[in-house]
Amino acid sequence: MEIAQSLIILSMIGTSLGQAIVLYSAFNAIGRNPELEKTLFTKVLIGAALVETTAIYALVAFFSI
Amino acid sequence: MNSSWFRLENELPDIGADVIARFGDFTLTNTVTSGLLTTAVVSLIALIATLAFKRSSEHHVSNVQIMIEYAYVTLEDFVTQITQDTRLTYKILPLITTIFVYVALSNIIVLFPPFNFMSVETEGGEVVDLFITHTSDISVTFGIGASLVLLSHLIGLTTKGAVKYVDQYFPIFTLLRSMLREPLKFYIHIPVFFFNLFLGMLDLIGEIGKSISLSFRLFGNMFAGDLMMKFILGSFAILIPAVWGLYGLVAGGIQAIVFAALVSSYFATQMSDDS
Repeated sequence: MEIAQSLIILSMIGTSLGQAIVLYSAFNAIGRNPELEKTLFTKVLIGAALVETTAIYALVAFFSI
Repeated sequence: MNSSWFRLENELPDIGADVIARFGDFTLTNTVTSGLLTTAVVSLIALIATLAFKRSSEHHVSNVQIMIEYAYVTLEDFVTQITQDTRLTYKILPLITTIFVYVALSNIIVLFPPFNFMSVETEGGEVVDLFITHTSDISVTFGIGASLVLLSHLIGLTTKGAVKYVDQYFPIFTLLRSMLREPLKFYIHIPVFFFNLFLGMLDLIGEIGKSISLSFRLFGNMFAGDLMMKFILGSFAILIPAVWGLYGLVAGGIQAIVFAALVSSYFATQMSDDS
């Protein structure tokens, strides 16, 4: 059971990488085109929340084991 | 025993609501009470808004009306960004607004005093919270999510018609039409048809997955917030739980936005004609 839970925690790697990609590309886009910042902000928040979903599935699995 | 300083005072909470009272077969859980609380608050806001709309005249517009109209226009712009069609936005906006307001308020209402420290003693003698976060119960989010996905399919069926609706998953009518066009070479469409049938099966699983992912995303986020709050309150008494509560406000708002955005994109894909 502890091994399974440790494996589930490993899914955080993917989530953090995904969120890093979202923020990386958003900051790159803002750096190139600073006027985008206003419209991009909410989209980045929504995108980060969507990427978080996999970690949430892992959480649900963590407590259902 | 656990030697870590960062630990829970109580054991980990179960996934699910606590039963407050029983009336025969019917049980009253603290999810139901927080749902009633959310409904009451939404009704109160609607009542205040209606009174403000009635009071404002041509020469004097009340502040509440300006606030409500600003929120409405913001939501309208947001939904239009997703649907890319103003006519479609006006059709689905009442539903999306209802869902958004309900989910957002039920995510954050329990963070406000006096609702966050009200507790009640059950018949068994244990003390449970009177209100927990309404959306941290899987039954609530799955009920909302699954019924919305089902409703989007019903609306797609009525706007597109049965032929187009069935055709987008299992292209039987497209096959029949192409067979009638070239009756002598009907056999060349058969492999494509079976491939499309396979894709249709995948789509069918995807539709079930939609409702599950929609509900589990909201449930998981809110449940994780509650759980982290319990962890933090087990270790720190002041200041840091407040910071986490502030983050809970932001997270609840964002999750409500994500929920509304996904639901409106599902409706938009079902209701657009050119797919």
